[in-house]
Amino acid sequence: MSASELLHLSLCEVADRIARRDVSSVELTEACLGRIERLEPELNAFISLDPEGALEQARAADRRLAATGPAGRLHGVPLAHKDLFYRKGVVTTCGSRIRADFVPEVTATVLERLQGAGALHLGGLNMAEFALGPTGHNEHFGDCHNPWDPTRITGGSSSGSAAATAARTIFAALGSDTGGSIRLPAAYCGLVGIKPTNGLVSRAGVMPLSQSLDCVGPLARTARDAARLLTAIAGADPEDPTCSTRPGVDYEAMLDPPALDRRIGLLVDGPLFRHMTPAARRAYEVATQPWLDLGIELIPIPSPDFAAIAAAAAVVMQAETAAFHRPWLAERPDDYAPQVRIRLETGLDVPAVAYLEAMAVRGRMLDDFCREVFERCDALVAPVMRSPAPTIEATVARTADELRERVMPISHCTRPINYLGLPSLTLPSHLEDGLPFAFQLIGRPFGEALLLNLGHAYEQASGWRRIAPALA
Amino acid sequence: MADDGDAVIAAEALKRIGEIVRSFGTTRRLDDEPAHHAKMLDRLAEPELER
Repeated sequence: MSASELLHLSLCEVADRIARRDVSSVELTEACLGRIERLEPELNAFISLDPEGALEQARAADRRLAATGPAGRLHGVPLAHKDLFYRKGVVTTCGSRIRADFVPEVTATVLERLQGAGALHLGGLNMAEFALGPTGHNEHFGDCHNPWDPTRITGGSSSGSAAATAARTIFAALGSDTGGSIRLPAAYCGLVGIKPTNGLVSRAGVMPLSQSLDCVGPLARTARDAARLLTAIAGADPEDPTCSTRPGVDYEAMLDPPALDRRIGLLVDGPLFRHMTPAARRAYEVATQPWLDLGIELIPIPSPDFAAIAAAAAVVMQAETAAFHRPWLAERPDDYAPQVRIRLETGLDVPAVAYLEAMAVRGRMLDDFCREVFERCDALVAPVMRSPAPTIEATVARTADELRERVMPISHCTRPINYLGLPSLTLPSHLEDGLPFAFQLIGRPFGEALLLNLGHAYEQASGWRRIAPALA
Repeated sequence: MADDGDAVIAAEALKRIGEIVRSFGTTRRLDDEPAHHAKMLDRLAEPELER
């Protein structure tokens, strides 16, 4: 099998081949590094890359495999992650000038868990500055480019995670999602991305953006890959007191048989459709076809009050992000990109009373949402993107007005779900004018196993697995 | 419009949150606490998939 063919295998396929010793981790890592070298000038997906360190990890993985067998289900697989997961002693920039030289004293729990499962770490991936931005622009490290069309945005804030995984330079990546930062880049780059239930995955050693909204999750090429990664990283963590103590789940083992007897709802109108282009609206209908091919009858669900949920989400996010950044806003305001500083400074004006009110009604709004939606269905199909990836040029914003017009509508469909704390899975469906189209599948709290099961069934029906960007 | 929900529209979001709170009535409840949200996630959790 050629290097290119190897890199087009899924994470699970390649991990299983390593475990069977059909391919070595060194061969695979060399193939990844070769493609990274070739494609990075076009993509700019990496902030840092450690080729020598990666090859040393790969040699160690091959030695261990020969001596005692695989460390876990990710043994020897090259991964890389958004550059906000701390690794002790290694610079973690958070996509910013302010933390350009930041050397953490701890390693993120999720990175320790991936390492424990045998995964390799190639470097830090590009991201929006401090994870605040849904496009993939970055004034400090350069914009990240979409492998399907490098003139287009990747989506953000986990821009490099999506670009590298879609371009087949790595097999999957972790991202973080505060208002859509996993689901949006997954959608624009044609990947599966899951924002887990709040509390399912530890955030210890992860740069905070908005502490009550932040979630960590994988971006991957298949639902099975996402399931394997989520299984590795989820679960209680004494280092993160907000982490749930629910027992761990093997999400990959629960992909089959397909849960086709479950009720799937379809959102057909309401505030989430407000910014969708007519073409995207038609694409959303096209995306329902694989469900019908599976014999599933979609149940139309009246829209919950997403406008109210989004308003509450905005208050929480503004206050929490401004509180975290207040010292730097005072001391180093010019070290932020204008777009980021504008957003952060607005949060300084959120009254404490409004923040407390938004937090106080959160449980009730979740309760209402679950009653309105999940008494009628077990998972809800909803829009995730207003259109396929716009161009980088069309989404440049340096003023509040430009932000409102060009950037805000991008995360319109994703942000409310973070406030509710529910899990949501981005699933690519088909190409629209050569660019990926996708939707999100929203579940009950801790319903990740069902979402991934249904996502796995959907991608068998859609045939998306066989489609890759020409650049890759 | 408040349904855009982001930093540059803080004023609209702030106005809207007041309306939301009023819509729940004036009676405060013991569960009107941030920690209640985490408990609510647990209470509303998806039953495990049958294998």
